[in-house]
Amino acid sequence: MRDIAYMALNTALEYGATFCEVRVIKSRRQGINVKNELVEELIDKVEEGIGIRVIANGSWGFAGTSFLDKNNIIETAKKAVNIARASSLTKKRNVELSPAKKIIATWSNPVKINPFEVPLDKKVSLLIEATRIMTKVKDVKIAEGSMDFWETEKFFINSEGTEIFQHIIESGGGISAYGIREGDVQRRSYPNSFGGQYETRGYELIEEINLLDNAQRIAEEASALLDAPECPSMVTTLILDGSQVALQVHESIGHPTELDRILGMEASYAGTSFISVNDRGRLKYGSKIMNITADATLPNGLGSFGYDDEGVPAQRIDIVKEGILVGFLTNRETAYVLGETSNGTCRADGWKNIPLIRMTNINLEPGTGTLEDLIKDTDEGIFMCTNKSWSIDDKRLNFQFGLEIAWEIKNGKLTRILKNPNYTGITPEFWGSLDAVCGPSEWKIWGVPNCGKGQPGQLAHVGHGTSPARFRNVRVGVK
Amino acid sequence: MYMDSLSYIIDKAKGIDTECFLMSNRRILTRFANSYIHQNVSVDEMELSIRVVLDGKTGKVSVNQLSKDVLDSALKRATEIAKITPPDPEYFGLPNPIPVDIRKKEYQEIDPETLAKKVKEFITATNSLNASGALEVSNITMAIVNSNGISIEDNLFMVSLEAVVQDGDSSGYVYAMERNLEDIDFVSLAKTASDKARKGHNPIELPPGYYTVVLEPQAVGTLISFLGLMGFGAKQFEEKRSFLVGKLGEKITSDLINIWDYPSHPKAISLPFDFEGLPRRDVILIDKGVAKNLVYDFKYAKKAGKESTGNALPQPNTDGPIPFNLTLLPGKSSLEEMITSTKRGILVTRFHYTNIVDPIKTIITGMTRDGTFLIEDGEIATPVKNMRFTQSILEALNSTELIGKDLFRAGEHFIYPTLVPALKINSFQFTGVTR
Repeated sequence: MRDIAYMALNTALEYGATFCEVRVIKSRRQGINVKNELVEELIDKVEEGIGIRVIANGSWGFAGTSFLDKNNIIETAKKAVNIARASSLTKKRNVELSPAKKIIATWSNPVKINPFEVPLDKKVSLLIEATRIMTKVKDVKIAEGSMDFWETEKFFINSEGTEIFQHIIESGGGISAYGIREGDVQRRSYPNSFGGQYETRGYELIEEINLLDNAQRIAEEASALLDAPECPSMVTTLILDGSQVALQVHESIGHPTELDRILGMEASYAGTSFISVNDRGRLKYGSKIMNITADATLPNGLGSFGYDDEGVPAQRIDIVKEGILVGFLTNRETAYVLGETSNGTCRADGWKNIPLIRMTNINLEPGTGTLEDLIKDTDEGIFMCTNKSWSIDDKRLNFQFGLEIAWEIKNGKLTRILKNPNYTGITPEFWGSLDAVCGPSEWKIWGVPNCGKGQPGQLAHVGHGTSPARFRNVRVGVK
Repeated sequence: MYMDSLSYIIDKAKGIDTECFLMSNRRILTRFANSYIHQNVSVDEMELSIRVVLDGKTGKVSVNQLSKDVLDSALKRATEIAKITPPDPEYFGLPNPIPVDIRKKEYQEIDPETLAKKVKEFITATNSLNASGALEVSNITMAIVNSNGISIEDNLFMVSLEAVVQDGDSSGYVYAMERNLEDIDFVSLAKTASDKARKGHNPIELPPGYYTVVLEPQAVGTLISFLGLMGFGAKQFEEKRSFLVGKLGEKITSDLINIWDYPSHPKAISLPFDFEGLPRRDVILIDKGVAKNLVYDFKYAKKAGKESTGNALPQPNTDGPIPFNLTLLPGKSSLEEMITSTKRGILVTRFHYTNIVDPIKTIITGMTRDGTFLIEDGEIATPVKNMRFTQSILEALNSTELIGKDLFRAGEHFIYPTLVPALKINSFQFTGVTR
């Protein structure tokens, strides 16, 4: 790794780059998808490649290749410089980077059980058994279980002398049951939808989430949903479970506080932001009890790492403090615009992509009490769990989320189940209606392994530390 | 250039059901924002997958290096995985070869400077408005060899431009995908997006409710793309997760609606075979409003006693067969006729961040973006603030009054592009508005 990285770096500099950073990555992925006791898909993928990003003529260029022979690496490094020169045809000003410390380091996340050393048949058997339990429940026609594991070895160098090796193992798993009757399909998932829970941990995560003990319960809920009434259309008090608060944070706080979006750099694809640079310290994002941090240093979060893909150390920063916007997610290029240094959120999807500003672990800091306390404290409302769909406008203001299941709350108690719940709102108004956040005992870092951004499209692994929260006067049951 | 590696694996695995699938892409993407190129990338990538099936038990391994050591090790690992996975009782073997019309073209090299000049042309033609977008060139090669004798390789060259032009609080959008760079008229597209951006200032707020809408092709593409996700595949149908369950042979939309999976359409940009190496065939999905057919891969065709329609994804997969070349056949109207015939309605340029609410009822939700206007008395009256829609696609297609006469390619992120005309729909539900 080291040899080819330096070969690329030296070639780019000799060829005219004024700045160069190189990532050589080897990665392995294992994915297992079981449906109704059959292995439907088993992914075993190994790949390696090099990504070379340069500044030449004051503009950016990037070239990557999976063909790692000496000649091709030299040609790829030269190509990166040529691309940068081409970019400069439309240049308005030279790209400037905020200063970053020279770092020589290695980093790896703590792992108790290496998931790639756990026998495949053990993993498959667990998922088969979970789906067997679920399909025994009435009307559950489809039961799915999945596990995903990633191992990434990343060697990073730049022309400022930084040299970092990181070794990261990530694991995830979950189950879903589908109750199906003519004209109705209802899904319940555990511990979360879209693949379950993901963390920077080993197989110990799979053991802890205990899929088998939860299979019967979610299957029964999927079945019960078929007979449940629709979520009514009304304005009411809404309690969201932690996993949905995580997605709410993701879409309405994480993305709009990315400084590249704010500066218009994502305008043609994902969009911009309702926030402007001048809003920092002024914008009332939400209620007084709303405190949002970006923290890549948290143990086990899917957005945790040692150093970002510009070689900047992982950091914890405030984004919203007592309801006021106080920070952005930045990289070296955008931090320069503010006259600051990067807060270390620049990451790339593999060797083949450039690093972009990505969420780390964006967290709603915990309040007090348990979910049980919160429900007891609520006279009337709806408790919604587990995301089913999401949609938000290009400035991240108007959102609508669908969830798998809801319970009506009457006089501090959960009563009947409601199907097809959803809610909608406008970002600052919604967060302004936040009046309770559960405490540390309910707080958990939810992993989101599929955050899309950029062109070519990149998927990032990010996390959100959240606990259940209550919002007042929310429109639910959009039909 | 890759066939030797694929054949090596098949020879080495002699006597075992084996499939080698390779896809490579030489891609350049020049991205611009705030009217300058801010990201510019080139990637050469390749992935080879080896699928081994032993008595119905499948093992699959993917690698991106082609040395003999890597290939030998991958084949060995795929075989080991196959030995420990449970057998699929519905394994029908690998497909046999069926002749495919290969239209292989030479690799087209386009240098980054040429692309940067095209971007500059676009930016200049916006007349100092704020231009953002991506110009992408893809050179895709796909090769499949299996132990039943399929041995096929082809390539696909595509150029696409997606751009947003902003004028303060207003914006316009254009999208184009063609087989040659020369077929994209950058100046004309820049003017289209700029004109729309200039017309969008000071939008008014309309209340949510049901409106007549004139959907430009990019907005129609969202509806057709999502319809394609929700039910034309034989696996979804079998699992009763398709909106077509109980409706095949029945009228599900207006008589005006004809939807095909149409790889042979002259405007289609498509490889002639699917991810199993079988020919992609034209399939009539909705004929004059009547649900007619599903799409199949080899396995689901066997289960249904039919021939594959060439709609396989890489095997094995969780999704089953899907349509790749959805085409809503054109009608007779111009966009102008749709607008002039509308007493009161909304013109939508495109939708944004759409997602499925209820797949059985084909209900989706999303936002309008980059040009939404109120139509009054047959004329565009005023821009309106972006609105959220929550709408059943089938109900929208059922209340379609006019269909555009020209087909355009529409892109929907993460879904295959469609060929669609503009539509005038008499009843379309908006459920919210943004600021």
